[in-house]
Amino acid sequence: MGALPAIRPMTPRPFRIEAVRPETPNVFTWTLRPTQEGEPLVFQPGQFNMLSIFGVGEVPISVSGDAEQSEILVHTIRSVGTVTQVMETKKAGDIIGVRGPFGNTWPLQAAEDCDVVLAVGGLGLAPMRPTIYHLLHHRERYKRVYLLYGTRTPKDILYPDELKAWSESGALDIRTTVDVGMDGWNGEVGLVTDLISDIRIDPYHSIAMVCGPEIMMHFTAKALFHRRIAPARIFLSMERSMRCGTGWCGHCQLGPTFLCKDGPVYDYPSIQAWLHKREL
Amino acid sequence: MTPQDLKAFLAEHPFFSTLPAEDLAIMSSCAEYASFAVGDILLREGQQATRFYVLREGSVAIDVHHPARGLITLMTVGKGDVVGWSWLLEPYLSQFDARVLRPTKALVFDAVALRASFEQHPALGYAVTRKLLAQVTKRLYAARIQLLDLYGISNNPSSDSPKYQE
Repeated sequence: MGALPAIRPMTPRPFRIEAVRPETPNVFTWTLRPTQEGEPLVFQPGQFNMLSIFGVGEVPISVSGDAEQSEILVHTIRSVGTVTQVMETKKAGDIIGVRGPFGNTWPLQAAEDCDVVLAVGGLGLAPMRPTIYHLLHHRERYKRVYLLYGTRTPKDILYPDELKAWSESGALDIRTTVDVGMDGWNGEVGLVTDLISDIRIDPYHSIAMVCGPEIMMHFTAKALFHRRIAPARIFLSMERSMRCGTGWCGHCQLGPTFLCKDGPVYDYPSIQAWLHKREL
Repeated sequence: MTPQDLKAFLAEHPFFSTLPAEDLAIMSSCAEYASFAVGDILLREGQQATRFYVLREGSVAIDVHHPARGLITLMTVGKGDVVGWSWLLEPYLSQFDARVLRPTKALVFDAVALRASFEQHPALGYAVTRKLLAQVTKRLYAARIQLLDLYGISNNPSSDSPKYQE
């Protein structure tokens, strides 16, 4: 799960917002392009960048675009805090700062020749999208690929057009469920964990990648254990307060590990002892 | 589906598979196999619960009607799941609607006949009640997890935006 290190990791590079796309209420996607000549910002699925609004602040946001399109950067952002609320007001043409990429990556090489289960909750689909693009680009390397996606309501479903296209292509078996169904919704209503019981996998040759709030990952991992997927074959993308991106400041420390540098992707046994520490 | 097919189906179904042959015979005598179209109502809130269903394929929504918000789907169930257990408890009234979302095939049990059979065969009644209790427990577990709002919780509410954010 090694990843490319950031070039000049503490210096933000200016990027121009090329496009702003509203996704769901309070969630939007930026397409960014560097304003200066230089090394492209090459990332791998699972990594994140520190995005800054000059004079306001800086936040860690996972990359949600295609790693094979290195000329642009794509980030999906939820407007919820001081910095991201200002981000939501930015328009195409505005300049923002980018540091990164940081963190490690999903185990895409280890997953080759295996069944792959992507279990995502809420906004977790955004960090998982680069992985989906990779799987689609190299579909022949993988066996069955499931995308299990849970959200609160149908209105919260991210990237609905892409989900439809991926599903219709037959490349992915996509199953979506919501917590609360509404008029016009004829899909599943229930937990993302319920979707796991129905998939056809070879548990001894499967890799599961889970991304979402920690509580969702906790229950999803339990459901995957029931399907006899070994803990070492279950990978979680962890979340803590990331600040420097290089492991110096210690904000994202979880037990002996720094999520921004050693993570955010961990196999379950590596992080298990710290998942259930109430004080952490 | 012939009576023999019904019995064979019950013997293979996880809900019934541990029952002895004589109990399977009693159960199958109270059952019939049926197909349902999209929109069919299997149970209606407040009405007598005279049937219960074991789904073989398809999808069924468990709905509740909210005076202001209309029909709200609480959950969906599918292959292998059971629909309805109010038939086992007085006053035998369905608590929710059950509405077919996708073409569905199911075993339909005559609940009144089943209750009578359970009076005569308490061991069978106990076995089926335990299996239903397992389903109830599973649904209660799911409902409790849903209360946790799995997709909306941040680990760091004080920070501006962790990776997949707040």
